[in-house]
Amino acid sequence: MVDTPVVEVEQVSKKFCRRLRYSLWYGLTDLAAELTGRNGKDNLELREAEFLAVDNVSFQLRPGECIGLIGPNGAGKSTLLKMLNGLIRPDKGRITMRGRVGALIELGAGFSPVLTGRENIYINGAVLGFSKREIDAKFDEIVDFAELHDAIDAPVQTYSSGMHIRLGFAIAAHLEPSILLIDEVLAVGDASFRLKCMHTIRRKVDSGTSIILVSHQLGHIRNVCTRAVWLDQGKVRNSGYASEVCSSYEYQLYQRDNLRGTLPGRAFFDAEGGAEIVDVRFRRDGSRDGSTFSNAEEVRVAVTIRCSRVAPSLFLTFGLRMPNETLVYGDQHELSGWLSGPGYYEIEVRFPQQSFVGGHFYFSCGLARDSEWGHTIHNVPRCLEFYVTSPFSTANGIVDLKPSLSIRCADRISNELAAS
Amino acid sequence: MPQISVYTPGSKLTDPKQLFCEMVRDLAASRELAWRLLIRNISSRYRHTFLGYFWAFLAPLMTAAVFVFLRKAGYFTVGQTQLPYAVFVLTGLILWQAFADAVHAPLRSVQQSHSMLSKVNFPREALVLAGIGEVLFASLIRLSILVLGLLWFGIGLSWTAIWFPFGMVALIAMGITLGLLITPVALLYHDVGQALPFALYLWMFLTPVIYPSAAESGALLLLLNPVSPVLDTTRDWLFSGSPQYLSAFFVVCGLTVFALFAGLLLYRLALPILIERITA
Repeated sequence: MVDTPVVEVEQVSKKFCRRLRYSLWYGLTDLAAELTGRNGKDNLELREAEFLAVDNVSFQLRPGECIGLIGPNGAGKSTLLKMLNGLIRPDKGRITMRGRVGALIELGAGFSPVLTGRENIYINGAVLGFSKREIDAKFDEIVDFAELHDAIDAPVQTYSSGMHIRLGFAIAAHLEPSILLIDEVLAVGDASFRLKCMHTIRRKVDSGTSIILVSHQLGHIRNVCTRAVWLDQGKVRNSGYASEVCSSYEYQLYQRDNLRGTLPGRAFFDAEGGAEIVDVRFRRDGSRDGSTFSNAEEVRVAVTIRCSRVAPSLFLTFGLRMPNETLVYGDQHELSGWLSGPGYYEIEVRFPQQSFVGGHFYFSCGLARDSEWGHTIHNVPRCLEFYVTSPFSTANGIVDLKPSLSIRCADRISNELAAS
Repeated sequence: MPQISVYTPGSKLTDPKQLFCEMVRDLAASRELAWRLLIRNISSRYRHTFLGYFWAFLAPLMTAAVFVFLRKAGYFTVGQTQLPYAVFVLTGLILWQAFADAVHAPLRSVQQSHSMLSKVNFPREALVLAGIGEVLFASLIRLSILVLGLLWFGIGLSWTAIWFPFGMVALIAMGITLGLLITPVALLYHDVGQALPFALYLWMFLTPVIYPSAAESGALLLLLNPVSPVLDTTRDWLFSGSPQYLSAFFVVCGLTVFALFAGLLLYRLALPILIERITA
């Protein structure tokens, strides 16, 4: 019994039509088919302007498991979620949900802007299926969670968008479903609120709730989910362990969007600066080309600068960022001691072997007159993009911190414990 | 025993027993939500007004005043009414307004909750119940004006007025039924919503609202217009105590019960298909 999946999605397909005129007409004919009982178990015949938004998707969710749905916009994630939530029905296949389903798809559903926060808690609560008594019991907790003590009797239209979302989430967080569907709601709100949401979701996972999470934040998926399903144009492109699926998705994004150092830099104060970056490229051994590295390789970047006059100080600033702008590493180096006069200079920045575990990185660099940002004279953001894989490593993450482990027999400690 | 939901394609009408059970279950489950939505709709409608609930009865009061004035000034003539014309036309308009509101109610309810419908799974019947509640609320407010009018003119009620609520419910049920039947198409094609106020306006003049029903001239219209016997009977119950078209009233009521049931069924079957089409 323990292993009975709580969610079973079996070869589910759903048609979709983006042309309004056709779509409305098909709605009418579908309605007629439904009423005359002509709607069969398989309605996959595509009419004009129709396509499959969800195409033969199957997966299972076991109790207490958390599965992530990832993929580009329009891949069918939300359509799938709507079917799981019972809002629309599949055109083919079968979905079985075993347990009470809760959805964090829209926060604050049913809120009326002119009514107060207090009134809206009861309305949204009723929409989500709470009784008045349940809300009464949880009211203070909800207000605490939303941090809206002063504003709870003010009309919701006076709330900032952050307050609005906080209130909506605070109510929904008190749902206690056995299956929870979450769609992208974590992408809003300030940092502390996002943290709170992640914390809440984690607690739900720990208390045995099974979760299906749709998100573009691969970090969230990696953090929370055990498995992931990657949808692309309605089809399952890959599924399996969350970190593996996320990595393969990330790599595909990288390959598609690889800009190979074509981003132009912006020159600041170039006339008086007297120095500029003219070229940034990878330096690779032998015949190897491209910008995918293994973590067993050194990553070497050659920055060429042109100096028209030698100034008292010149700094090279550089940094590595991830696609979500997280700074992985950044530093600056004084160059003036190396410069002998006007001319071209090539600086090589080396990231040694085993610096990275893996992922997608952007290299940015610039020149500055001194160590303060305001004195930048030339800036070339995101001029190189590269990807590191670690085919022979068991480590997960971004950079390799190379922790060392030591192990010893703990007899002595247990003796000490016994003595004390 | 966990609650199990299975979603498959295929017409739900092929299993009418299950469909019926689910409908009854959802109707029962939606009472609390319907009550909340009703309170929300009523309080948010009037919170931003200065005159508040006064707006609920302003429309029939003003319309009645216009007809009384026009008739007094001799711009049109209607058959003799047993009651003072002002009371007659006010009663008629209040009854008609209840019907017209009820026709609009399901469509308006669904359109208002459009985004909620496409994102949250809640018992859909709650919207219909809340719509009915709103119609009842507005009708009760208007009836209070009628009571004041009766006191003003010093008109007593017939003992048959105890049947009046039954007639009122029948009128509202007819309106809701019609509203439910047009909602699916109206959600897809907004032409229906555009035409509705206009159609109801014309319909009002084909119903004995502002004029008394005269058997000889109105026979055909009465036959074709199911609202006439219901409205006429309800008004007669209130005052004269001897309704003219009692048998027609009961026929229409019987048909309404079936049609209302069909309307609810249609609504239930249609919503998933419509939600797919009206939300991108």
